[in-house]
Amino acid sequence: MTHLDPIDIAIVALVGLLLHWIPLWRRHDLWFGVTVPPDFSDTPQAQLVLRRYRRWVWLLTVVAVACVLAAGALHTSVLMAAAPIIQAVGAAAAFAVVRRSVLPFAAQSPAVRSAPLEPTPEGLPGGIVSILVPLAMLAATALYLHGEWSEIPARFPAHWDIDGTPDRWADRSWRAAYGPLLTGGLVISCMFLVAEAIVHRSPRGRIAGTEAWTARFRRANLMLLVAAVWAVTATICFISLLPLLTGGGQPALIAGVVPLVLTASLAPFIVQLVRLTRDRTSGSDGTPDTCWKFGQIYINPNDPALVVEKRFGVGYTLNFGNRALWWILMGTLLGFAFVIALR
Amino acid sequence: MQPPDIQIDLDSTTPVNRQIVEQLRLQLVAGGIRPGDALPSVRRLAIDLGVHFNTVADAYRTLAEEGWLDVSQGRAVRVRERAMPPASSKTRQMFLRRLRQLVAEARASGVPAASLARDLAATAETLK
Repeated sequence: MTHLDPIDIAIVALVGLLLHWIPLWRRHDLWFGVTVPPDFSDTPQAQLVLRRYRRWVWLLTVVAVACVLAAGALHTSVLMAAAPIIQAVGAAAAFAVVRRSVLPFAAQSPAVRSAPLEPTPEGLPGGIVSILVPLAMLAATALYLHGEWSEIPARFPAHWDIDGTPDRWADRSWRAAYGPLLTGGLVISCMFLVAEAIVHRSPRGRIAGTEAWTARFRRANLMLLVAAVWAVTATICFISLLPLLTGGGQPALIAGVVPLVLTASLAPFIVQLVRLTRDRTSGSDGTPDTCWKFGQIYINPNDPALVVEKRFGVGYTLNFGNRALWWILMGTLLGFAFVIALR
Repeated sequence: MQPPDIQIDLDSTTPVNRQIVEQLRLQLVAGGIRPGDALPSVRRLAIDLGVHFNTVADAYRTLAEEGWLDVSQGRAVRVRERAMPPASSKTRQMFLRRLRQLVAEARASGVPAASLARDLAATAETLK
């Protein structure tokens, strides 16, 4: 067992725990992505389905742990990469399989739809400041790198192993120096695009009586997204400055701690979001069950929404039935291809 | 004042665009929405209700033709100041026919005549 195994195993166990709880983070009238009568989740049938799903999750977690141990013993990174994939894909498959046992108990999706006559939806938390701050951070970092160009070592680490050992190096060039900022700019643009889609292209509660809950849920998601953008931006700026901070050597302990602290700073926002799902007034989401493939992929060409609430996990997912979405996805892919080509 | 909600029934035999028109007209006459108030854009209301953009656009167009809404391209949908036109005898006859049918339906379902008269008077008072 290498010294990294305990950390890797802890991560795998944490993912297992998350997958264990995810089915409970839902609207009250949904169970495994199916619209059910209120309080169906308290019935023995519902609990049986949950137990079946959880058995799969822990079986997959054991397999993932075995992969991590084998990766350490055989010194192969393929098995290490396979562990989270086995867990994520396996849990999604387990969710889809057990969902079929819920379908016989499905309630008819409410035919009555409701909408507020409030013209303008809420904006991003913090308004324009929430966008300007990360942009200013990126710009300030770029300017600082430009000003200190001669101080950047001729050769510096560009990628690190999980234990902090550099495994890829780069020569001083504008691509190597500004590449992380460019990639970061694109990533945060995508995140803001998702936030804008939530504000302007997602429903504000289609079922009467759920508007207030939906408004709180949307707000909590947007707050998490904005906080994540700030955290990602701070991490990217920090990574970009590492050649200057470490003089091209191996990064100090702080290099690993800073991204961890930034990630941990998102915890209160996630907790707030998860706590919302305990509210019994959340009802259903007003999307037809038949348009959810495997309970996870939403394809509804008759729904003009670009994003809708997830039924597996907390947050929003895309409406793959919306033609505009495919153009946006193509544009995003082209943007990433352009940045990768530049680097 | 909190803006009112709109509700549609996808299982109803009444087309969705007509349901939107009827509910908005009710709010406009009752004063739930007042002249100068902004309404959600076509896109916003369509997304909130989960119906096609054209359905909402058609409903707004109908209300604009009746003089209730200003739906100029590129601007927010706003409620217009609208004077009640004097009803012609033809119009009154048409509504009387519809009212008779509605009353007959209610009576056939067992609603007492006195209760109907009371409700009708109260409704007319509310929507003055």
